[in-house]
Amino acid sequence: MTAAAQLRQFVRRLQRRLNARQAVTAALIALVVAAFGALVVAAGFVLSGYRVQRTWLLIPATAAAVVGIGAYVLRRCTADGAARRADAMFALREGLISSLAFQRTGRHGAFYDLQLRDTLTHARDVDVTAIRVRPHWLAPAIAAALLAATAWLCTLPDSPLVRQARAEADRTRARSAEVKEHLQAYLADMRGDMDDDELRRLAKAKLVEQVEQLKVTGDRKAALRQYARIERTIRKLAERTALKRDEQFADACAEQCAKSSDADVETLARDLSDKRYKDAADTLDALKQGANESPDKAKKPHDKLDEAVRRLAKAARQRADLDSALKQRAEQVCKASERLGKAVQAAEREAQRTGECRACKAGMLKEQKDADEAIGRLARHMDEMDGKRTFLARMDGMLKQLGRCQGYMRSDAVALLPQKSIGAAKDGRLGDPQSDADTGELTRLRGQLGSGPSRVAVEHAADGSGVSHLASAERDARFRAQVESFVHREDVPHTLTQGVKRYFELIHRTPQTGQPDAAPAQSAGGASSPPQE
Amino acid sequence: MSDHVAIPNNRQHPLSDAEAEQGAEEFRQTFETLRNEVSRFMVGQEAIIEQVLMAVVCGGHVLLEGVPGLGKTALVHTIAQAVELDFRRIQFTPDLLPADILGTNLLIEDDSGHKRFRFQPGPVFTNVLLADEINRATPKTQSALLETMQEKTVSVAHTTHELSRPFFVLATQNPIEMDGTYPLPEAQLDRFFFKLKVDMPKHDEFALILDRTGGVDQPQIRPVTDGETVLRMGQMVRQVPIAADVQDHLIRLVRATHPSDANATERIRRYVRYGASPRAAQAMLGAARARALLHTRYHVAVEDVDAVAAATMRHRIILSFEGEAEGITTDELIADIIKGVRPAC
Repeated sequence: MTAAAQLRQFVRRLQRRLNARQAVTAALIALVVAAFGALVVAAGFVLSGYRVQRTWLLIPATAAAVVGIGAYVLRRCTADGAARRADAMFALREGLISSLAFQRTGRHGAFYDLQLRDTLTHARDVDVTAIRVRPHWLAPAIAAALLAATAWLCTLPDSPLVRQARAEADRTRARSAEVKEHLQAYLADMRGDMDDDELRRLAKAKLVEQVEQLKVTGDRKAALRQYARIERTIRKLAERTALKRDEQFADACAEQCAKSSDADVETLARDLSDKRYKDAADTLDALKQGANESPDKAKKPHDKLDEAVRRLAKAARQRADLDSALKQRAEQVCKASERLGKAVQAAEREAQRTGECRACKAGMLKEQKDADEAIGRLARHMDEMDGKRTFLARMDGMLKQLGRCQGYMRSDAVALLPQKSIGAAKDGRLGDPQSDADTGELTRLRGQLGSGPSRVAVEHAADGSGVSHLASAERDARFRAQVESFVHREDVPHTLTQGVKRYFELIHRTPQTGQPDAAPAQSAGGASSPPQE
Repeated sequence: MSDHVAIPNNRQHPLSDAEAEQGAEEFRQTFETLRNEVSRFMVGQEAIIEQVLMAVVCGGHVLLEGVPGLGKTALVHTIAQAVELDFRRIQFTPDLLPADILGTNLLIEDDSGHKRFRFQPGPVFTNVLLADEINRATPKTQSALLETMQEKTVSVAHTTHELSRPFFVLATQNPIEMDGTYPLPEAQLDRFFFKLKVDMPKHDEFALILDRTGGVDQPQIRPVTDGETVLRMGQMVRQVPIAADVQDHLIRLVRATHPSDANATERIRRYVRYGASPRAAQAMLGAARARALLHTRYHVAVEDVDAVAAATMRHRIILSFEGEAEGITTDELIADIIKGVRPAC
């Protein structure tokens, strides 16, 4: 073997040895990094109160493996690199790298040969095994310690707070599923009762789709946001329906018509007043003129119409500021009636003067037809108002259901629906939307949703001018429930919690036994006994 | 001349391995013989002696700087005696003229009565020229040596005269006594292979100096080699190979003396006006080769380059005004550079 070949072989041995050491070092670094990363991840879980998710430990392990492999690949020794490091380690004074460089560049000469021979002589004295492959004990020890700490952290369970939060999330998830099911059923029931117009309006609002898309979630706020979105949709729908101004005009009309002595107009006034717009439309239909060729025959129905029209015109003047479609329809009827009146009078005059006037008859017939059409349009509009009102009533019912659902999600109530009493006729959710309407027995106090507990209680009170009150036992029970709810809050200090518990124990302790009383303490005035401390 | 060794002249044919090995060995022996002979008279100053001899074998000129009485002139004289070369000494003074150094044309009348010019060589026509207190002459006179030191020729009246080989200038200057002196121009400084600082001897060296020179018997310097051998030693030095990595380190060292270089340290950028020239790199390479051969190596190592960096670059780095004002020395800056420029190998 030539000297050059011997030198190359020596350098290859060096390279293998150095690369082996590099691989061990990289592996060790990766191990320490992985162990440290795993410890950080595990500590993160534990400090957050969670049990360590072991799959997460794969992240630092994978990252460390990539880093280790990368470090090895990048720092792996080439032949020149090995020569340089050996020159430095064994004080060969750049002999190896110089020899390799001279061979690579193909330089030949006496001094190059001497240099090669001299370097080889020095290289023979080099003990390659002096390059330690075995790592120092410290790094594996550190890695082992870190891994042991990580393993210990993995054995820790969830903290009580996390368990509580998880239970809360499960409960919220179950409740949101229940709420979704409830809303779907409610909508299905509602759709079964709807006519085509209402179904069309419902489809246009895409309310069904929104309910179908409700997500079952463990996040209470997210669930509440979903319900709020539906609520917003319904409110926008109500705004678009624009029934309010028509109803205001209808009320004005009812007020004016009520002053009439005509039976039909009074009926119309009652229908409008009671918001029975469908009946009002029927009443209006009765005012249609028909095709009366004789002025005498035409005069009587027109007088009836004229009475109604005067009332409507007065109402229109009274609410001149109102921009209502119903008002426009009514004004059209007024004008048509006015023209019809003039045509009837003209026909009468001509009939008295000339006998029969074909042209006047034709004009009267035309005005009768126009008036009927205007009345028809007004009646149809009222019919639509009735449909809208029914639809909005249903939407109001839906809003109430949403409100109930939101309350259910917020509260600790056991069930979404009131418990079915024995012999109850039907399910609460299928009930009449108006079933929980104000009965006069309750003072319904509303607050801003989500802005905290209301300070005002709903109290039972007798009719009349009596003083409302709560029984002291009931007040005590409520106070107890409130305080218990308070002490279960997460942000209440432990010392305070214990203090409140101690308070209740003391006020319920009987003097004879010193044991807590099962029944809540009651005082004559409904106030609790003071603490015995 | 009994210690003379024969170093093969490879100008005619390439050296065989055995001849090269023998030549290198004889180089070391000759160098050691020379060093020992000079050291018989010179006490201490081993590094100075070695570096002056390295410059001699490399064919370079040396500027010796030191306070009076440290043996600078004696060192040069001793080397000239040991090498058995023609030696001349010029005491530089302010009134010295270029012609006093180089020589001049004289109008002479021959036997037939014809008059003609004849060149009268100056003291520069020698092998070893001691330019004593070189900074006392005017820049005009100092510049007379420019061609001589670089081309080893003298041009007078359109005629160029070759100097005998080997030729080297060993100049001295006193760093303390600055009155009536003229700093050497940069072009002149750049032509010196080494600038060596001669330090005060140590206590025991003082005692030896007194022992050797205070008595009746003075050490006699024997010639141990000749000019031809010195030239062949120079050729041997030039054959020592250098790897690309080491050469790269050398280049980066030289480039780092320039304030505009990326490797320049903050102090270089602040205190240096101009860095070392490519001639410095050539000198560094030659000196590093000689050092490698002296240390029984057949290639140049990074430590050879680092070892000769100060001697080859300290006079080639020109300090800025701020550097001069701060009292910064070029040796400090070179040490910074060596520390900062890590070898690739």
